[in-house]
Formats: sequence, structure tokens, C-alpha cells
Amino acid sequence: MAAITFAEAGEHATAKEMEGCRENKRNRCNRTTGIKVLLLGAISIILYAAVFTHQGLITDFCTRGQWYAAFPIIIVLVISLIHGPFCNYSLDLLGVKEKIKK
Amino acid sequence: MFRPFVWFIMAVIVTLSFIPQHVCAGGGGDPFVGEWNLLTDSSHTFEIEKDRITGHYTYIDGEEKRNAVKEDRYLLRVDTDSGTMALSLNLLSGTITVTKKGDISEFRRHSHFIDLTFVNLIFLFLVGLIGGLVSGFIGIGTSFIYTPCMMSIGVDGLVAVASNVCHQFPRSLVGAYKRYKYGQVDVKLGAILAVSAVFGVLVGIRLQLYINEIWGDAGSNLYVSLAFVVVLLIFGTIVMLDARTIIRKGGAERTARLALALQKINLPPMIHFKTAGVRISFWFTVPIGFATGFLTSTIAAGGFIGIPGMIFMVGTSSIVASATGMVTDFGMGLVGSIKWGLLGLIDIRLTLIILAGSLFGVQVGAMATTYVKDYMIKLVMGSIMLIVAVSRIITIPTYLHELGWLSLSAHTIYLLKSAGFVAVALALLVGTTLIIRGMMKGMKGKKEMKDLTRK
Repeated sequence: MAAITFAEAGEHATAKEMEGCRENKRNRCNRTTGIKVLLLGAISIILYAAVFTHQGLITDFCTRGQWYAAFPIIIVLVISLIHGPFCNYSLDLLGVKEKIKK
Repeated sequence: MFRPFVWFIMAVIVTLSFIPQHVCAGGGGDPFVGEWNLLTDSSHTFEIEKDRITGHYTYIDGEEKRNAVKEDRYLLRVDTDSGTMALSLNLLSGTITVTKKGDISEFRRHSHFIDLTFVNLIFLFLVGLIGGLVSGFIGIGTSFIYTPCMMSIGVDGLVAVASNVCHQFPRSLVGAYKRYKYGQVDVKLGAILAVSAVFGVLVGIRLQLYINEIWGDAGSNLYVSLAFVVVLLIFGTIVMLDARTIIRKGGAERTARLALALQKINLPPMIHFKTAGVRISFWFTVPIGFATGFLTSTIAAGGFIGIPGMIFMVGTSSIVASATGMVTDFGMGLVGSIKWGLLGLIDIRLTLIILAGSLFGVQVGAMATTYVKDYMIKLVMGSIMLIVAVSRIITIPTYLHELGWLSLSAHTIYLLKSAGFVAVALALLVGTTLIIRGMMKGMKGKKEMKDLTRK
């Protein structure tokens, strides 16, 4: 039963306890998301910094053609696998969430 | 029953198998080898230092060093790997452009690539963010805006196209995954469209080459602009009229009459698309994919035909169509990235900056679809299509001038081209505003509902 049902039935203590539990759960969830954002953000920054501090070398490898063509593809895939979830959790933390889920 | 993942893997394998053999051949199969038109872009002297090239090359006209005048054409035969010198090679138009004199090997590696300033960096990030937002919402790749934006800060045209394409597939992957979680993606339909789109791309490139051979670069530009105008005006009007009807009459989206008629035709193999909730012949889905690929190789935005095709021919809802379009976009982006990567024209720095912004944008755009009504996607898509069509109409006289069919002053040409670019920017701005407004409205409604429940 939902907290609102208890509140309507006059059992305010139970309703408050349930609401409190939900609040705790939300806080825990926000903390976990925050940690994920920090972790993924740090990795993202490290990866971007690595590319831009070695841009000469990396650009050179990415423009050699032939089998070196795999380099840019692997780099964007790896970065999007880190940066994509980082964006997702950041938006989540900012309160930008989808309306419905499957 | 095929699981979506199996369909996806199959689509990728089939798609990859259609990359031209000479591109995959590695060391012995340099895609530059062959005869190309050599076109200078300004009046200056150029020379190619023979000693720096390990193989040999010959000009067909027998000259190795001369003063070049604007748009002077030469035939250059390139016979070796290193002889390719990585002069910028436009596969679509079959031209090699020499832009400066100097060390060819250095020119190959770096002279195409701009020095990134802080302003450029912020600009590209914002362009990626807005482009990603629109793309995540309507499911159409926004290369038609990225390329001119990148060129406006001095990026070589081919590098701009290559770097864009390389960011397209991870962005579409993230967007498609996000919308798959909302139950909006029909992977089976996306896979069929992606594979047939590859055929469309190959035929589209052939046609581009043919047009370029006959009318040159100006002819190609005119063809691209006309294709833009015709396709966008026709489909943009259909989409807008449909959105207007839904808004006026209210209620949910209805399946298009053409789609209902096609669904009744029993032409084996009939395929059931579970997420789309449609059963239709395979043969009615292939032309949509083909047209998408064909248009992608022409105007870099095949989704303008693919999404309306799914809505009006297959009979999917606009939400499912725009989400499934991202799967097609992913397939074509991956193939395109391999092609441009083999030619060594991807500037990974530009790709990564745009990706940083677009991964944010694409997720917000995908989320926005859960807040708005179905017709909003049609409204946004229709508005963008019609404004982009206007931008192309504005620039058509400049190509007619280049072909010698019309005489315009340099100032007029500059004004027309600027106006065309501003119109494209306006299209994005309108799209972004509509999306953000729809999302804010939806979020406000959700909050009010929550508050009401609490009370």
C-alpha cells in the first residue's frame, strides 16, 4: 500500500515512516549516481586529456589509412562508452529524466 | 524468432561486406591509385617533389611544374602508395585538390587539419549539443548542419565530412540504445533499412561521379541543392500537413492510407515488425532503405526520406520511425567511418569535440520524445525540412553562376551563401526551441501531477 493510502486512513505515523524510507532510498540513489558521475567524468576527462595532449601522435596514427583506420573508430567507441553513460547519469542527477520507461 | 541483437549483428556483417573490395585491400589496394583530375583552388605555383615519393607519378599532360591558374585542370596518374601524397581526394566528385606547395608527406598528415582555438572548441561543442538534441528527437543525422559549421571555421570540406561521419555512429548508437530502452526502436526494421541503405549509398555515389564528370563541381553542387529542395519541399509539406491535421482534429496519430493499402498486399516474404506493430511485405521496406542511402550519399541527410517513408509507407508511428531511423543512421555511419578512415581524412579531435556535445544532446532529445505528443515529432521535422529547403533555394543562383548560366556579382554570391547558412542555423534554432518547449511543458505537467498526488 502507498503512503498516501495510510495518510488517508489516518495512520500518519506509518505514512511518514514510508515517506521517510522513500526519501532515504532517493538519497542513497542520488549518492550512487553522484559517485558514478564523478568516476565516469574523471575517466572521460583523462581520455580527452590524453588525446589532446598527444594530438600530434594520435592524429598521425588516425590518418595513415588502411588498417590504421581502426584507430579513430576504436577511439570514438571507447570514449562514447564512457562519455555516454557520464552524460546519462549527469542528466539524471540534474533531474532531467524520461517520463515513462518500458 | 529472431532476437533484436541477432538482427543487429546480421545487419552489421552484411553492411560491412558491401564496402568496395579495393578499399579493404590494405597495402596493395591504395584507393588513391588511378587517374584523377587535379584541380587548383587559387592562383599560385605548385610543384611535387619527386624525391620524396617512393614510387613514380606522371602528369598525363607531361608537365611536372607550372604556374597554375584558378580552376586549371590537370590529369594526374598516381601509381604508388606514397605517391598518393594524401592530397585531398574527393571520392564523390573524383577530384584531387592541391592547395599548397611544400613537403607532401607533411601536407598529407596535417595541413588539412586546423589549429584548435578555445573559441573553435566551444563553438564545435555547442554545435554538437544542438545537433545531437535535434537528432535524438527526430532521428535524422544532422550532418547537413555540422559540415557547413565546421567549414565556417576553416576545416577542409572532406575532413569536415569525414569527421562528422565518424561521430555519427557512436552518437546514433547511444541514441538508439536510449530509445530502445523506452521501447521505441524496431531493430528488425532498422536492420533491413540499414542494409538496403548501403546499396542506395553505392548507387548514389555512382550518380554523383557521373554528374561530376559531365558538369564538374558546380554541376554536382546544383544537383545536390535541387535534390535537397525537391525532397524537402515534398516530404516537408506532407509531414507538416499531417501534423496540422492531427493538431486540428485532436486525438492520436492515424496510420497513413498508403501504409494501410500496402499492408493488405500479400507479397512474400511478409515480415511482422513487433515494436512497430505492423505486418508488411519485405519488398515495401527495401525501397525506403535504398532511398535513404541514396539521399545520404547526395545530401547527407537520408533520414529526411527514411522517416516519412516509415510513417507513410510502412505505417509506423512517428515515435517508432524516428527511433528506428537511428539504427539506420548507425549502420551508415559505421560504413562511412570505415571508408573515410581508410582514406586517412578523419580529424579525430574534431570528432571527439562534437561527440562530447552531441552525446549530451542526443540523450536529452531522446528523453524529450517521452514528454511530447506524437505529432510534435512531425511538427519539428516538418519545420526543419521546410526551412532547410528554403536555405537551399537561396543558394541555387550561386551554382547557376558557377555553371555560367547566370551572372552575379561577388558581393551577391557572398550574401546568398551567408543567407543560406543563416537559414540552416535558423532551422536548428527553431527545432531546438520546439523540443525544449515541449519538454519543459511535459516536465511541468508531470510535476503538477506529482504535487496533486501528494496533496
